[in-house]
Amino acid sequence: MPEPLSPRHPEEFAALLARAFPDLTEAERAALLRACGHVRRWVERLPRDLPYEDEPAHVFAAPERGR
Amino acid sequence: MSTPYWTIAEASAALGKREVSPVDLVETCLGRIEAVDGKLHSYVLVLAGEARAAAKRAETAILRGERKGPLHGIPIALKDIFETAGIRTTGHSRIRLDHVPESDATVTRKFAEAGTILLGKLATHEFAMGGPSFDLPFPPARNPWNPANFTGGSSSGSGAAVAAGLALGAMGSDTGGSIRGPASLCGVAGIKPSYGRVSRAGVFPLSFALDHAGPMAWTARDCAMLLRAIAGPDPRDSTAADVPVPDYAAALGGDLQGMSVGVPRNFFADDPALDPETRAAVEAGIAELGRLGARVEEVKLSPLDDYHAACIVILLAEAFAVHEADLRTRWRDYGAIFRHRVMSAATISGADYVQATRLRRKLALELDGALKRHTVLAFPSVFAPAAPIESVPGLAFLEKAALTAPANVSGHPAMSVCCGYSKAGLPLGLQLVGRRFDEATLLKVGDAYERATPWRGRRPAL
Repeated sequence: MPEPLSPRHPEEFAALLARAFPDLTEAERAALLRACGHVRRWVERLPRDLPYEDEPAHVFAAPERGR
Repeated sequence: MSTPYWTIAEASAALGKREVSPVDLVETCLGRIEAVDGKLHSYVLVLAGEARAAAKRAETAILRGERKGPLHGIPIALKDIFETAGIRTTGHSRIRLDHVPESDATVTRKFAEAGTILLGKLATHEFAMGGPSFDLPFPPARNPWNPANFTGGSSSGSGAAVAAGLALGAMGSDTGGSIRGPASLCGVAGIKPSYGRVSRAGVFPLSFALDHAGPMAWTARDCAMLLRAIAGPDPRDSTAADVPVPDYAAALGGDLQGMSVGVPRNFFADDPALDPETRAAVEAGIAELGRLGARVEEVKLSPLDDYHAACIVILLAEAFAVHEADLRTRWRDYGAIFRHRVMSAATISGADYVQATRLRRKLALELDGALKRHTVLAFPSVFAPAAPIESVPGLAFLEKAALTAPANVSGHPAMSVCCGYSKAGLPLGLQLVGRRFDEATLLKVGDAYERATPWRGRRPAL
């Protein structure tokens, strides 16, 4: 599956910032990129494989993974 | 009669016996504000005239035998994200510098109905996140134990004002630790109640899923008295649960026989960020809970980083949603630290947010399980005593997992009590986490600990 288009990587985030805030100083751009890097680290820690059965809104029989 | 420092319980008893007047209490606080708040900056607005008038009215009512209850005549203050009708409520931000609400937050109203006297509005990190900042309309609050040091945040003014005796109690809010952090660093007691225990109507939101409103005061007993006045359901906040509110203060006393204290050492014991003096004080505090009769056992929980990951993704995504419109149009009116923290949420996808909420449920169930086996969990509130304010990194909450995050993620009640002082004279905090809606037991443990230890006998030398 291709990566969804989102500012997930520092380069993409930098491009987004440049477009949204063209008057950012270098120091501010660097600070924002640093913050973005920290957040990515936390996002990457989130599990992506929690079982369907654990989802409280789940009302159907869980299909087997990979089918 | 006036005394520099009162606890709420002492003042309430003295008011009941007419040994002191609300006017005396208010003048004591205002005198101290005048004397020391120039260097602490705990208040962003002092309501001296209004407080004096309210104190006079309370005095008259009490003398007539019309005392409303134990908080009638007690001077308190509110973090400046709690709306106050006709009184500026800024969130410590240029964005809402001229915002004068038309109505009170439910907590503001309940405190007024209980007869408390509002001394003023307290400093916070901008919109309860992002500090200490030096580019806002008001300076950051400073620590009464050493004004060169940080208060913790975001309820920075609440911690400083209570510790310095500039209010007998205060309201804070806690989304990732904003009550327990400053309570620990300023050496006061602070309780983040269960999610749903206290209405958040009229409290400027940071994260709908994680925000909690709760009291800060010198002692657990004082927190118990304040919490009773503000807890309970509220038609203005559908998350405020219809669960009976006990008389928390009446339930205090006795020892901890029959209780079990779980210690999740994997949260902190091997973390290089743990300050040695904090480690020693917290371990001594846990041992004291054992001496008071509790059984102390180690408990293994998921890594602290898992809790922090869920917390930070939910918090930032929701904060970004709250501020999105103003970020687009008034970017420069926010302080730099707030901008940097919240803009980083632009990198969080919808799928990330959903996975964080799913992790949150798993972790909340884990804490529920641990709290079936144990009456409370005990561990440090923060890793180290207050650092010099100029040295605190603006992105600290993004860089390092916080010991306060688990109870925000799970919604369990949690409090910080002072468990000693560093060699430099800075307070250290012990965190206690309790069962859902069982703040009564949590406060009982905190109160028993405070009564058994000498830490409440010391105040900052200002």
